[in-house]
Order: sequence, then C-alpha cells, then structure tokens
Amino acid sequence: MNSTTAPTAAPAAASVAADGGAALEVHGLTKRYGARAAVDDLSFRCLPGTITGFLGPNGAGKSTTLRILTGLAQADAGRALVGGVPFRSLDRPGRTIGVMLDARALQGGRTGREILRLTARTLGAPDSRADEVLETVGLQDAGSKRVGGYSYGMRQRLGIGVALMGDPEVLVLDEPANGLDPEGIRWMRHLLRSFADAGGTVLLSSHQLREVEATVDRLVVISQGRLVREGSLEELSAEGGTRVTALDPAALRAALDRHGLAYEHRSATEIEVSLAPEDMGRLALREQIVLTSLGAAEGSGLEEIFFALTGQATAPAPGEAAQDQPAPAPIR
Amino acid sequence: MRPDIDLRGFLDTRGTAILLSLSLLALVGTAALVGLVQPALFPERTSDIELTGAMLTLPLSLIIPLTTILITAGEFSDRSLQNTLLQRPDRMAVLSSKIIAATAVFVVTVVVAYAAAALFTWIGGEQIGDGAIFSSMDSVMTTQLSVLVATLLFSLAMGLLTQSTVIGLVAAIGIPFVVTTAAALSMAFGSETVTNIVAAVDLQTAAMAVADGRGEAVDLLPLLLLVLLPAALGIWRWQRREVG
Repeated sequence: MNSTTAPTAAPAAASVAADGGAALEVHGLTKRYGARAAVDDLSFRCLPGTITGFLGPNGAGKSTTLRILTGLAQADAGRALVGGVPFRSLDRPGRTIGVMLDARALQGGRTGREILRLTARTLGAPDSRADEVLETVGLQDAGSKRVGGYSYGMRQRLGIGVALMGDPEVLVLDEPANGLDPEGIRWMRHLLRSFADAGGTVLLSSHQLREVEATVDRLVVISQGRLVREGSLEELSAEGGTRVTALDPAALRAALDRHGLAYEHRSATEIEVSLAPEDMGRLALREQIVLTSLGAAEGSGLEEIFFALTGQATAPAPGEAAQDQPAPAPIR
Repeated sequence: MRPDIDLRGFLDTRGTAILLSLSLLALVGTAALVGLVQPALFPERTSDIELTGAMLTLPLSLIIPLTTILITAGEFSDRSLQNTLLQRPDRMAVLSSKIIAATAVFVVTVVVAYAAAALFTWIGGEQIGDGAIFSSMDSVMTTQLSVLVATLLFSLAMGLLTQSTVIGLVAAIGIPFVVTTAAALSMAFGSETVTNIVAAVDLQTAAMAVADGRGEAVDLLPLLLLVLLPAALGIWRWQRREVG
C-alpha cells in the first residue's frame, strides 16, 4: 500500500483533534532505493497544538519521509496521512498543510510578492493575502525585489510565507532556521509557538539542536530510516541516565553486567548508567555496593540525547574534526 | 487543471520578459524586412505572404521550442516544481495545464507572427510596390502551419521526456536540424536505405505531406517515433519522478 491509498473513515476521524486541528500520521512507512531502505517501517504521530521536532543524522531518512508525507515521493509500503487523508488526495492542500522543504526551490526570476500572489491564485485567495503574508514574514520592504537577489534567510522567510498563505492547520518545515539571523530565529520560534498554541500542528526538521530544544514540545528521533525514540522533550531528557561512583567500581560494573544494564565510562571512577537515580540507589542497596556519589547525569540536553539515541559520536570540540574523536565507550 | 496559473507563472519571470521581447523583435523585424524589401527584389514588384511566412518559420523554429520547453520543463530545472506540486499535487492535471499553456503561447505567437507578416506584406506590396499577394494564404495555412505544429508537438515531447530545460532545448532544436541535414545528404548520396531511415524520423516533411493531402501510413512513423513514444515515456516518468 502506498501513500496515496484511500484511508478509511476511522483514521480520518482519529486524525482530527477535538478542536478541529489536523494531525500528521505516519504508519509503517517504508521506502527503498535499490537494496537500501531510506525509511524502514517508520511510524509516528504529530498532534494538534504541538510542535514536533523531527531529528536524525544525515541520511537518516528525514527528507525522504517529508517528501512522502507531502506527496513528492511515493512510499513502497505504509501510509502518510494529513488530517486522515494522503496529501495527494487533499483538495487545495495549501489550505490544510503549509510546507517549506527547500527555500532554494523558489523561482529566482519572480518577485517575492509575485510568488505569493501566484500561490494565492492557486489557493483561491485574494491577491491582498500576499501583502498580508509579506508583512507577517517581515518582507514587506522586499516584496518587489526578485527572489534571485534575496539572501538565504530572506528566502527562508518567503518559503515560510508560502507555507502560511492558505492559513493551514498543519505546518511542515525542513530546516526553517537555516540562514536566519538571531532576530529571525526568535521570530520563527514565536511564530511556531503561536501557531501551535492556536491548535495547529507543526512538524519541524532541523539540525540545529539548540534551536529545536528551544522550540519543540515533542521529538521524533530516527536513525537509518527507523524510529529510535518518540516522546516529549521532558520524557526524553529524563532518560539521560545517572552518574555514579562506587567504593568498588569493579563490583558496580559486575552488578550492572549481571542485570544487563547499559553503562558508559565517564572517567576512571565514574560511570553513567541508563537508570533513574532512585533505581540506581535501589540496585546498589540490593547488591550491597557502597556508592560514593549518585546523581542525574549533567547536561542531558537535546544534543546529548540526540547523540546517544542515534549512536553517533558526540560533537567535536571547536576546531577538532569529528573523525579524529575517539569512539566513546559502547553503551552495553 | 489550471492552465491560467501555468501561463501566469511562465509570463511573470524576468527570463520570459526578455525572451518574449526578443521574440517579438525577431518576428516583427523578419516580417518587416521580408515584406518590405520584396518589391525591390522581384521584377513583379509585388510582396507575397507565402515568402514572408516562409521566412518567419526560421525565427519561429527557435521561438516555439524555447517557449514550449520553458513551460513544460522549466520548473524541473529551476526546482520550482516542488512548490507547484505542493500546491497542486495532481501531477496529470499539472502536466495537462502546462501542455495547454504551451499550446496557448504557441497559438498567440503564430497569430502575432502571421499578423505581422500580413501587415508588412500589405505595406510592402500596396504602399511600396505594385501589389500584395494573399492568394497563397492556403499554402501558408497548410505547409507552413503544419511544420510549426510539428515543431510544437516535437518540443512538447522533448520537454516531457527530458524534464530539463537545457537538454530539452538541445533536443528540440538540434534533432530537427540534424534530420534536415541528414535528409539533404541522403538525397545527395542517393542511398534508398538511408533515405528511408531518415524519412522515418523526418517529422516536418511528414507533417507537410499529411497537410498537403499526400500523406500515407508511413508518414505517421515520425509522429510515432518522435512525438508519441517520447511523450508516453515522459508522462510515465512525470508521474513517478521523485521531486525535491
């Protein structure tokens, strides 16, 4: 079954929130290029009133998933639904879902205003909507300028403007903060928050982890085309682990091994365990191990969560190439 | 289908403004030159619409592929097709709209060209020379128009097949040139086999034969090989190609 398969009434109903907002749903999505699975049985949901961050390393399948979700590519299996129906089945999809995948895909020979007016005509909106949106995205003074002369940040703003033209219920944005200056990033964050607070659904793909951390409510993390973790930012942060030292580190490691618990060496004496601090304390009591320090792992921010979940090496220090980094001790 | 959007999308770019201005200049200039100088060149001191029209096929054989390829394949090359399909996900409807838009531009271009031809033939013949000849209009409407329609169809097929402005233009302009040259060479060499092979892909000659009423079943072969087959492949590719 591909993404254009007609849905049944039940998922359609389930995809519309009580306040009428449309949800995004991906069910068992698979896309292969030859022998390689770019997306492999991927499933997740984005609910109205939330901003979902879509994270994954390069080549994880994010862009492929977004292309399938927005009808630009077809899945080999599974379904991607917008408000319960496939994108290609939507009548005037811009009225339901605003999409900005690549700001470079805007025709450089047209003015910003003309691009928005053309979009307005497609959506059946009045030309005046173009001027409203130009003001919304802060391009009112550049509307008569050809897009070929825009900076990348201005193109991003215009791309977001195109996405907003139909006053949609859902926004899907790929790397929207790229090229934006700090004021622009703040503007975008405020825009997305207001959109979600008004009942809209936002799916946001980005590599800028700190920006994602400051913007999203929920996370969908994928790696090698598969779902690694889905949940709220708090839930995933709580899984950051516990740092612990013991009087007898060897006994601690042996106890963790016996229970099949993953841990990672942080220093000669300290290890990080994939357990909540209270559970670690209970385990130490049961195993008669004297702990000398115990606490939630520090800095379990999105960056660390991301690297832990996707199995990647942590970010290199400034000036230090990632490939020069020694591989971290494996989490067992 | 929204051909109005594709037409507007084509017309509102800077590149199109330049292309259409130059095209208009080329058409009016050619029509003026040929229409006005005929009385001075021929002993009858007349100006004939057939000759003016025939000379106009030269700029038109470049303008028609340019506009047609830009409308059908231009969005692939500048990547703006992504935005088009995000707003209009029915690919067949978008494709049909583009074909209608390209045909509309073709009709307007040809009407403007022949209106200019008629105007300057009349001025050259009636105001400068000893008369304007419009009795050959039937020939213009059959022979020349059929060649232009063949150019449109081949350009549409190349736009659909290549889905690239540059490759589409090279194919749409280059292949007829190569075929015409090959036809002349095969005639010179007198090889029947080569002549038959070239005839199988000589769309313009076949179009003229059909328009003149001399057409045979074999004259449909170039239509099949150069228009229908590439167009079918292009539509198949258009429906499946991943965008983005």
